[in-house]
Amino acid sequence: MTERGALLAAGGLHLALLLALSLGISRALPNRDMSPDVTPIEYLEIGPVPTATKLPQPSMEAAPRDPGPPPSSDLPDVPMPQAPAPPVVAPLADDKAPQDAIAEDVRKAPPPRSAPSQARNSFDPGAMAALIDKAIPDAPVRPRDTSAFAKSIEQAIPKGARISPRQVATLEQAIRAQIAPCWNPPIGGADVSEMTVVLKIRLNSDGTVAAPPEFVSQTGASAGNQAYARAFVETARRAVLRCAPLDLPADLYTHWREFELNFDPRQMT
Amino acid sequence: MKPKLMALLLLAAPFIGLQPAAAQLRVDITRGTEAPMPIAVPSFPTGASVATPAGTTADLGRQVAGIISANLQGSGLFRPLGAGAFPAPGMADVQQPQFGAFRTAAAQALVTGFVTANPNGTLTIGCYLYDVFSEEELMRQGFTVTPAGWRRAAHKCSDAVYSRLTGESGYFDSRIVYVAESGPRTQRVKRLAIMDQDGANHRFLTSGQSLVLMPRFSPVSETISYMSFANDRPRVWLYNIGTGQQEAVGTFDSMSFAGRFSSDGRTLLMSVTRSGNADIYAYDVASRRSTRLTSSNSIDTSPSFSPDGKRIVFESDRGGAQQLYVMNADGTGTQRISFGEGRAGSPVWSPRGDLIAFTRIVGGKFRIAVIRPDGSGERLLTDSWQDEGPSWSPNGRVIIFSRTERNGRTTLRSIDLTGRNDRRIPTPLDASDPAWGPLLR
Repeated sequence: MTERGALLAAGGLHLALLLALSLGISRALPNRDMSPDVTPIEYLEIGPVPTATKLPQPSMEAAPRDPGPPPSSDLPDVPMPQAPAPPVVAPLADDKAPQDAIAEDVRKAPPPRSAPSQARNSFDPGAMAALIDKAIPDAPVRPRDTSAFAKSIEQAIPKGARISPRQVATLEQAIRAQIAPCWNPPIGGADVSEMTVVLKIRLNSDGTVAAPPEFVSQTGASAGNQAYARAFVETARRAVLRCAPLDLPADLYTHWREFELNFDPRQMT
Repeated sequence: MKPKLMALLLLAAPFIGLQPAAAQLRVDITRGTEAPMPIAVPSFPTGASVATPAGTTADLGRQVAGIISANLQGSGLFRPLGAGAFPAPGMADVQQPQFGAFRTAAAQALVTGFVTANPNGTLTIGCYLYDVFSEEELMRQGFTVTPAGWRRAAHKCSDAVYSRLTGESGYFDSRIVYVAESGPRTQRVKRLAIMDQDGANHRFLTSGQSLVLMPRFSPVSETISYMSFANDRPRVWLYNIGTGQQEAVGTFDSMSFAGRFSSDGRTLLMSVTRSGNADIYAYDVASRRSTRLTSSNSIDTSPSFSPDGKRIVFESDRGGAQQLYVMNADGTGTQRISFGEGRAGSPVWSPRGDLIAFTRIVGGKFRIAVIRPDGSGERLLTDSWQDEGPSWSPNGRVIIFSRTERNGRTTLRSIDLTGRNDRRIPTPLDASDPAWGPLLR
């Protein structure tokens, strides 16, 4: 199973459990055998439900510790950190920790049958109440305040599915640090100071190029400098092909599977 | 219970996908490397090696690749990889290169081709350029030359490669005219000499009987203008390289000097002295009529047309010291463009039009500099004791000039616009006052 699948499955399970517990269904569960056939097929490999006692804690910790700007808006506009580029691996390893903890727990998890009872025993209604509308237990079908609910769930989704501003910056730095040394822009050309090109890059999860870099847009090209404009685009393409495979954090693959590079040599002239 | 749970899971499903609204990652690459691009130039193969007056075709294949390598390396933009880094290609590899070997050698591009002898005694030299990573053919050209002209095919191939990869026109298939100097300081012999831009095919144009100075190429014809002291009367002459024919310019009864052609070759600008001051004249080559453009009580000299022929840059001491001025082609609208410390002289307008090269003189030091036609963006390109007399390569990217060492030796050097690629141009004797000619046809 891919890491992404595992993360989604884990997130989904957390959620299902959360719902089940908070909506009072947990009361019905002890009488019921948690037989595997209830579990949707995509969760099958996780099978043994993670130790419920620890469920809420790692999930909450996995949420971004530094709230930062609103998570879902304008990711690319997040201001870049002033500090020099951190080594690619270090900060991400830190971020990975909670997930590793989960994975560890999964491996150590007791047989599935014991899980529900443990979950019930360790469940902290007070904490959950803060997250979920109190009216919900009485309305077993549909939560009313979906926005608050969504927010709580968003926070509960493990790292990797979403991305913090710091991770964006780190990822950008990692890409930049690897592409720039491979790029031979045609400096000294008469029009170099005004020319830029944007390419769309598609990568496989191993960092290799999944498709030839795709031309998106170009500035500074005119009827008089077509040869130069063409050569300029080719240097950018070549830089990507030459640098591949890129070494980027695997847990953020969803974010670098496809991205755009804006080649702008103005600072070089 | 089962359906209820399923319903809940279904309800929850949208939230699981609650990743941040996928604003796509966009990364700015604002710097690249200025390291020269690695490029593979293996020996050009030949079908069956045939003896020609210039050597065997196999030998020519090696030499053609050698010239292309030297040209590309000399530009400062490429780092040719030696033949040892990969297996020598055969004829079949020219159109189906084994890219893997060149990728392994870290080459980004591949120049290959072939040399074959034709039954009529000519040579065909093929020239191919490939992108090693995308495995695309970027360019192909073929040249049929006499055995004596094989070097030009190598230069033309170099130009095609350079032009395709940089998007600028090339400058390798061109010549340089300069003043070759020999003899003791008191009895210096100065002769006009011409050579390929890489120093090959060197020959003298004048015998050295009379002093010559300031040779300048016509951008469109086989004509050079220069200043000669023949008959003890310094004046501008025209010299046809093809025929050897020479002719004095104009009927000025005084000294004329610093001739320079317009980009269409029809007009020759020069300085003419009258009663102690020098003014700029435009001489129509076809009608042999001249028009006076400046009339100040100062020394106006070193005129140079903009490539569109609409403006002229020149030097003048009208403000007290030697500085650069720009005026319209009819002599109106004069504006000073050089300021700052020291003096500025011998301006030349770039064939690209965007810059003017000149000699910046500060505290006894002569250095090559460039400035925009509006007077902004002045930049020093060299830092030596005496660098002077700049002349542009046909593509406006490289400047040739002469350097005088403290021991009195003078050499030709070139510098590119980045100021980092300072190279010696080999000459058999001391050399000064170079002028770069146009691309040959």
